[in-house]
Amino acid sequence: MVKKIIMDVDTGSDDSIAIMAAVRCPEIELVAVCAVGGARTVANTTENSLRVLDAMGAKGIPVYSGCNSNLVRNFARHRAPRRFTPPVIVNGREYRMHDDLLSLPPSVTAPMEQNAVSFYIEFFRSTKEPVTIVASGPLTNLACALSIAPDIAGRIERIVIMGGGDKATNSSLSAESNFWQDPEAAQIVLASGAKIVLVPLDCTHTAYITKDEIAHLRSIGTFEANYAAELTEQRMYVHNAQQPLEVPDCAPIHDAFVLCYVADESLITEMERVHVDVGFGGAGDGHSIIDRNTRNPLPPNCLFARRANREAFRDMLYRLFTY
Amino acid sequence: MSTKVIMDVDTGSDDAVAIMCALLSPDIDLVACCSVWGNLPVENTTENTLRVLQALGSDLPVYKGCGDAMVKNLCKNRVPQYDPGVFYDENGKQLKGHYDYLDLPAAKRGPEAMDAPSFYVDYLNHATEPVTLVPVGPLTNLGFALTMDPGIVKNIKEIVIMGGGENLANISNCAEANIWHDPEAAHIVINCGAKVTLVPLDSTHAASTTPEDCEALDRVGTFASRYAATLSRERIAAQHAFTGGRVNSTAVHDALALCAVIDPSVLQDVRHVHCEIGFYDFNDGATIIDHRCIPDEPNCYFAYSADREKLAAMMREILGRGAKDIAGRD
Repeated sequence: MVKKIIMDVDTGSDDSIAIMAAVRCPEIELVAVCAVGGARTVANTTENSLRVLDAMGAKGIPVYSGCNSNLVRNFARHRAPRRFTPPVIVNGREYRMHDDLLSLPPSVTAPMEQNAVSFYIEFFRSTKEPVTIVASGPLTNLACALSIAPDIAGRIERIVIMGGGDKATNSSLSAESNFWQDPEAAQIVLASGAKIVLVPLDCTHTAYITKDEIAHLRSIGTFEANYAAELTEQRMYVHNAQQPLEVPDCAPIHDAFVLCYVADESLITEMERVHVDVGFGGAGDGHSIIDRNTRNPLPPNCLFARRANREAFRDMLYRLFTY
Repeated sequence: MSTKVIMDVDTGSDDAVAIMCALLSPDIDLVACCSVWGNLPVENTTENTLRVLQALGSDLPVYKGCGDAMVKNLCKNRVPQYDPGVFYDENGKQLKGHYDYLDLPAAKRGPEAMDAPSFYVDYLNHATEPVTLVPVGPLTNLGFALTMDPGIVKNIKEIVIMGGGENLANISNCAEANIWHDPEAAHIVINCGAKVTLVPLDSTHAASTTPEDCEALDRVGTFASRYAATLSRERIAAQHAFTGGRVNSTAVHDALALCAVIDPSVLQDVRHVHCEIGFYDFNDGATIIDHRCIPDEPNCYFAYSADREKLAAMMREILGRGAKDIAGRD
């Protein structure tokens, strides 16, 4: 059965691969893309999302522009600012985990006029079909929609989130980037009562793509495979220099993994039903805190993914980008 | 020329008076009302807003807004509300500043399908002339709207907020209710870049309504003036009880904010100041004015006083323009 999804993205290198996978995947019908800001402006993430869709010749997938920045984090002076990370230089070229604008031709398609938050509210109040949200950026858009219209929580089939981390973090000692950028939004979504699958770094870090696999992707020869290879290679250079993983010369593609999981649930091999709250402020800002209280545990509010079948993910990317 | 206005209300006794003034004043072109939580749950404030409009024969759109603060209630480390205690009148009726439902016929229609923040974003992006916003409840709806699309500021002429207080407070040791309910939203609105005027407790208490004002409103003889008198009397009774008999008048806060749009001279001692909102500990929800020798850039106008006689006269004149009897009664 084809699964209908809406993607919420801050495109972004791994978001780009996720969008390409969604468009190419026969098991998925991409209903809309909602862009959110954070590390990049929402103007750029909207433009980047459109660039990917235009470059693929994908027609009729509306892109909605949403919130530019987190709910409240930026104006609280006790919250830690983003640490500046210099670009990585390989063979005289500068690489960042995400470029502000993707190296694709400027978009020709315009974004929708309606705000992403208003779109969510209107869409889920009227839809009669089950639709999943795959959120792989800061959760600001969804937090606004669920705060303004709490009634839609029960009308969303489920929200599959790339975010959080228990024993793996990347933006601070305790936090993953999407949660760290808008901790309050993450908490609002987790507490909304919606069905949630949380795919944290603990899981996505086990779904890495190696240098040899990047070479294989490139050998496929389609636009999507080439571009995915280029972006994954860029991510690999940055990982090697700034976020070394257990295996050298590899990179996780968080957002693409989460998208592929929606099409094939066997890609996650270990899940835990837990209660997660999000820390605000100080060293725990944006920390996805799993309730470990043995005396009075809170009821679970999400499925927390622990481990991925990386070979199956890799093969799925090969398959989706071969045509 | 009349001023285009959108009101954001948590109706609410004083909100009801403000809405009636907006509907009846020839100087105000009321576009819509957005409801928000605050005095009461948003279901009640929405219904109450519709009731007031119906009683004055208005079919103006009402957009239902948010039911809770943007982030304040996500965790439990914020200062709790001050409890004024429970008081009853001689007939055993509990004294309250805001009863759950206004004593008006139930509304025959509901709110619009669109939510309030989406309405702000949609309306302000398409507005052909700048609009004045008069939020007189917690600022949650506007906080979300400005988060969704900060660009809507271009079509906001001015924001006149009932909220805050420097030398007066009413819900904690240092905070006024509207700002205290959603401090983060207040911060977003005050710093959004539009011209912002705060009508705080300092000014609304200076323009308090007395039992004599209520009698004068009764003598005006319209439904609106008599209903404003009834609501004000209920507020005076509650205020009298809450203050242990020290105060025998009431600040009809929201009406002052609305009347300041009609005639800014009703506000007095208006200072261009830099105001920060407290988020933590004892200053949660406080409007903190920068009093340093060299303060930070001003971000709002703060009214320290108001012309009591002028407000009372404006209310008599404006509410006197209404019909003799309530509208919409079958």
